[in-house]
Amino acid sequence: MNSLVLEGSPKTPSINFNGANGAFLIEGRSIPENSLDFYKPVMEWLDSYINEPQEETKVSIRLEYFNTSSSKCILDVFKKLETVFKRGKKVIINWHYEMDDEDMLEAGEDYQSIVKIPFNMIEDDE
Amino acid sequence: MNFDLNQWYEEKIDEDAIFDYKGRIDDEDVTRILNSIERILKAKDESPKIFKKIFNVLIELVQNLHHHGEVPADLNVDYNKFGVLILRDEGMQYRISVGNFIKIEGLKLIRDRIDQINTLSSEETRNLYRIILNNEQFSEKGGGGLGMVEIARKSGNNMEYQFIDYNADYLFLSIDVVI
Repeated sequence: MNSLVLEGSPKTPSINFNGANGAFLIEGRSIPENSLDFYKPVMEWLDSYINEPQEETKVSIRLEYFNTSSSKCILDVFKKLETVFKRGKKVIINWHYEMDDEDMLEAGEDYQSIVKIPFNMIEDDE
Repeated sequence: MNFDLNQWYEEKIDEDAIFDYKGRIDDEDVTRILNSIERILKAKDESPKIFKKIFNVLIELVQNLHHHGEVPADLNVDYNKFGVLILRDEGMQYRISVGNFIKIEGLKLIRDRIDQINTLSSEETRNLYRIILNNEQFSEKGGGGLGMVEIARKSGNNMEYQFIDYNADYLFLSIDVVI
């Protein structure tokens, strides 16, 4: 399967979903005024991926900031991946947060409480 | 008795004010405001933790202005999103004041929402956030109803608000958040 690559901007994260090896990355800031527009192609790509997923999908989330309108879209990303997980494939979410950023850790825990996929909370030094 | 926006604004800007803005709140204005405040806080060498809290709350407040900042006809401006934002460094705390016009019929909804959130403990705020996050609903403006909850959660303080009569159709809503 092909990959999805979106370059980051001051208000939108860089997205790199590798369809060939199942390594997914969302990184940067996700604070667009209209996040539904930004995440639409991501959801469409995931709809295809769900039908031909890799044995293992490893998702790295390295967000500095995200706004509340993005938070629902991020949940939707996880829910798509939950479908893959429920079909017996391995899915893991590595939720990165900067040292002492308790708010970002809590945000990860919010998703962890809703989504039935294993989460690793990873505190980064820098 | 008539509300004087300029006077209200000028009174807010004293020696504690480190950023102020009054005017159009289009996409590019949101970006500019956030960039300016980021530069100001970085220059003050504020701790990353406080900086992030302020910035998170600001994002929601400015985007609220963008989505809900109405323009009464007598403002005589050629755009349709208007808002006011003042950031003050009060020594032991930061205070963000925002203001925008709302249609009178919107009063009850907004007041009830803020009142409800203000009564919640931090644990209850977190639970409410999770419930709304997972309720699958998105408002037309994409906000999803989470903004106010997020502001309360990140700031850890109650929102102080005031509705001021403006004319037959509009009120001016000011909200202060202390961090």
